Amino acid sequence: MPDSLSHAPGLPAAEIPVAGLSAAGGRPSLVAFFEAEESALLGFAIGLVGRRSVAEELVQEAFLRLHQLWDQVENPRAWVYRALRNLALNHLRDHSREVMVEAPEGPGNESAPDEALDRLEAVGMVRLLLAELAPDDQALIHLKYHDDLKYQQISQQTGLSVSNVGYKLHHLLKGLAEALRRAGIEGSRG
Amino acid sequence: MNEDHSDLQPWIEPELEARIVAVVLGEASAFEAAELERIAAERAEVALFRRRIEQAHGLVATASRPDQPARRLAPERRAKLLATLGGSSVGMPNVSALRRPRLPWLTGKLMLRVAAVLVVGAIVTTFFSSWWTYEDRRALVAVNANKKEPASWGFGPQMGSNGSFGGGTLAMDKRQPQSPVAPMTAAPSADASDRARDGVDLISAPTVTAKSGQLAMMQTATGLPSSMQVETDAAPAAAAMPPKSEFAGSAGAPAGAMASESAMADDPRIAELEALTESMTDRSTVGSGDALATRSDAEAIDKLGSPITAGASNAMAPADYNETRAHLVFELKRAWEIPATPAATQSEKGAALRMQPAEKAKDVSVAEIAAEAQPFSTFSLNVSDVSFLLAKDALTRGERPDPARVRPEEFYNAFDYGDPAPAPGEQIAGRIEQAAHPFRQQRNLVRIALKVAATGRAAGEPLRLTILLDTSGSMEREDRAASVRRALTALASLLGPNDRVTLIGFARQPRLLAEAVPGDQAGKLADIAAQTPADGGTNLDAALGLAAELAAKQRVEGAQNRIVLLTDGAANLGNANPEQLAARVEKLRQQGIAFDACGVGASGLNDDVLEALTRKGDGRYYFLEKPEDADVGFARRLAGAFRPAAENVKVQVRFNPQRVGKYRLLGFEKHRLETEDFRNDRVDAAELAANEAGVALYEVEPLPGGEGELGEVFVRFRDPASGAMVERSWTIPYDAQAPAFDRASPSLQLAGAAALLAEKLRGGPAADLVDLDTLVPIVTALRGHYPQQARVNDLVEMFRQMRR
Repeated sequence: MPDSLSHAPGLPAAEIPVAGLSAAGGRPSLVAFFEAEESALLGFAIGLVGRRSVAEELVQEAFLRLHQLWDQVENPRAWVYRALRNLALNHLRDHSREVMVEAPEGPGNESAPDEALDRLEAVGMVRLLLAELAPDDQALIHLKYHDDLKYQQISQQTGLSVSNVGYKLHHLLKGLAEALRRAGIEGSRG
Repeated sequence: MNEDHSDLQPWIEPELEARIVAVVLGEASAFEAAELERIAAERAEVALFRRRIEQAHGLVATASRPDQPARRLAPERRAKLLATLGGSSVGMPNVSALRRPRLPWLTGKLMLRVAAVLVVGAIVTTFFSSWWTYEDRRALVAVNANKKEPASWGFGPQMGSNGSFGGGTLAMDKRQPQSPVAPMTAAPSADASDRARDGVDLISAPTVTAKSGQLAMMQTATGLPSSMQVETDAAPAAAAMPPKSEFAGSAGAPAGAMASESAMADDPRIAELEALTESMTDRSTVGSGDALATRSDAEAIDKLGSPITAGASNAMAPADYNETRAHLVFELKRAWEIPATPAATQSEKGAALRMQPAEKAKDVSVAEIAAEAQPFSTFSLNVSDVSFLLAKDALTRGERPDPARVRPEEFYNAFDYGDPAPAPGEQIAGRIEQAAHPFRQQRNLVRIALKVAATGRAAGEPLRLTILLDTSGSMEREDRAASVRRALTALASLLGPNDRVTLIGFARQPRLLAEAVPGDQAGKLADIAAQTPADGGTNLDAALGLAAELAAKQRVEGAQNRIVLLTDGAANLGNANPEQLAARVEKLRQQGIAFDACGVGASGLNDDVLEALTRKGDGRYYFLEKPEDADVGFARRLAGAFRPAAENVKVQVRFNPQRVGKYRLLGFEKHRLETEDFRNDRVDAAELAANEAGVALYEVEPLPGGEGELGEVFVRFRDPASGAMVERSWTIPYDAQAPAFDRASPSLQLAGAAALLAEKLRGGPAADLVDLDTLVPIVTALRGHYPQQARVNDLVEMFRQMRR
């Protein structure tokens, strides 16, 4: 798994401008990482499986697994999103038949409306995809969306030309849109 | 996210894409935004691209912000987990404490097994069920495919390939011998393969269900007096599917929906159906509908002033002409009586003013007729290709053909669609297919093809039949063996001394059981088949190879050369490479050898593969669920086509006003008849020569909230052999899931493209709707399906010339 999941070679974690991994001078502790990602991952899991209790179990399992591999995983964020998604898909697959006949486990009001779930899932998927981007591209997205900068300002900060910023963001967004579409269709196959 | 299917997305200039992105990201001026708004209104693909970028933009923005309010695990669980995570990283005792027994599915062993099962299952399934859709799609979008983004984006190698989720878990376990789950890597393989079978069952079950609707339809069709074929590209069962959300089995809220969703998630057709539904939704945003069309209809009447100049073959007797004309005028008036939108009403006045009595009422072609006002559409099935040839010549000279001489029906009747000939004993075969109109919202194109036969088998072609009989173990089942025996017996009863049958059994290896048996001795084939021991394995590829060789050896010009595959198929096709099979079948077709497949028994049948193979092979796909299905009717179908001829061929379509809002016959303006003339045999109509098929193309507005079928087709003609009048009818089914035009059957695409090109050449309102660029890739791809028809090439060439 480390092969495939942390495929961005030599990813310097400290440069990734996201919460939880932005601690200066190296990667954060697993606990800090957990606290930073907990909410987003839980939302993603709820979006995937639709039930909070199951989602919590999946998030827990994902972190337990990450815990085992913490020293080897190079890009824990991408890793844990992937792992969570795999767990959720496995769960859905494994439980598809049972769920058909059984009543939902938890209280009935536990299920969120479909749209909200779709949104959670989509946002989680975007986070997954973003985590897997090259660090430069992640930084660019961060400047644009987190810091809400214009092309011009991004250009000043990064030293890229304005048109290059536009070009990169164009292809990043297009690629994201395409990857999301695939995730919606082919991704459902596994 | 799911709002489109980018494989079908027309290419957009990168520079324009960049501008769209800039607008979405708020980097462009208001002027630029307005300019793009205008472009988006004109070009559906631009609007679509913009919508996708907007969606991605919105999601990335959301994803870049922290969640509000932040979600937390339940306090107790959170505390335990934090304690675990805060400790040393290897061999934590807390780990097992945290894994509650309530969650057996999360424990390593099961996890691993599930993963293995899913990997195997998904690979098997994708192998067998995804390739044909891919094939089809690839043909359609070859052009776009070249322009696609490299796949390196988005998914890492693990998720990028189908069916590999869970693979990550496997890999991790293998690499981490110190992990508690590691020993499970050596899960008993028998166990795993058991589960693997379960996985396959689970996955294939919905496929079978989905197909049964279609099969039921096929059977209904077979029950009709004449050999009628209803083609539906989209699985009808789609209607029963829950709408799927954006990602893998996502929103699980309704338990049942979630289950079926994830169970079906492997079926690529679902994705296709979604794309289809969505593309249909997209279409509704294109153009402004009836008002627009009707208004431009009026303008067309204005433009088209020149008198009708009949092509040589289409001259009508003056009396007939006047009658027809009177009818046309009547129809036209009725058409204008349809409650119109304000825009239409306004222009109606203009049109009425210009409709001087002396003027020819030739624009019935562009006027839609309300089914309620005039449910009957009656015409003489006049088949000609003159107009097409004239137009081709003109374009080759670099000129636009005279619009008055462009007759759509002579465009789409210029091609041989390979429509099925009637079975022996039947005098006419009908085939009805439909798909969404590529340019008009809420309209379907309905192609009605009629092919007549005049005489019995004596005058028919000899048959060169090669039967490929699956003799693998699963075919030994009693009911399947009985089906095969009945099918072979029934077939033998229909064959004559001039026919030759070769029987090949195949399991792991193909075996020649009987070669070139004369048709009158074919009765022994059933015995030979029964005595052949069943064997393991199914090597269809080798079997097809041998069949091709023998069929080619026996092939006779002027005979029906066919290979028929009898198999319980499916799961069983073993290591066959579907693409390789398809290539073989395609090659056969180019040699003039058709390929039919007959599925035996419902369970485990690999419908997709077989169906796709027969479509590639100009053949048909049959299905024998029970031995009783293998009757003479079935054998007749196999026995194939004969030379037809018919006189005075009239067609009447009765549309069901409960289901059809408006309709329009494309072309045949000069051949339309009064409703009551249909059964008036003194009113003359066209003739169909030997082995000729006549095609009519309608634009129909189906009412989704309506009831019943779209309507009924009646055909009436004189059998020259007996002098008797023959009348037949078929139902035009309502297809709520009519495929998008770019996924329609090649025959419908070809007819539609030809008709739309004619409308474009004729100019006027209908022409404005036709975007040739959209059709070019479809038409180009059709060349592959009709390699022997030079005219398909001509059509492609004409499209090319028109774009200059």
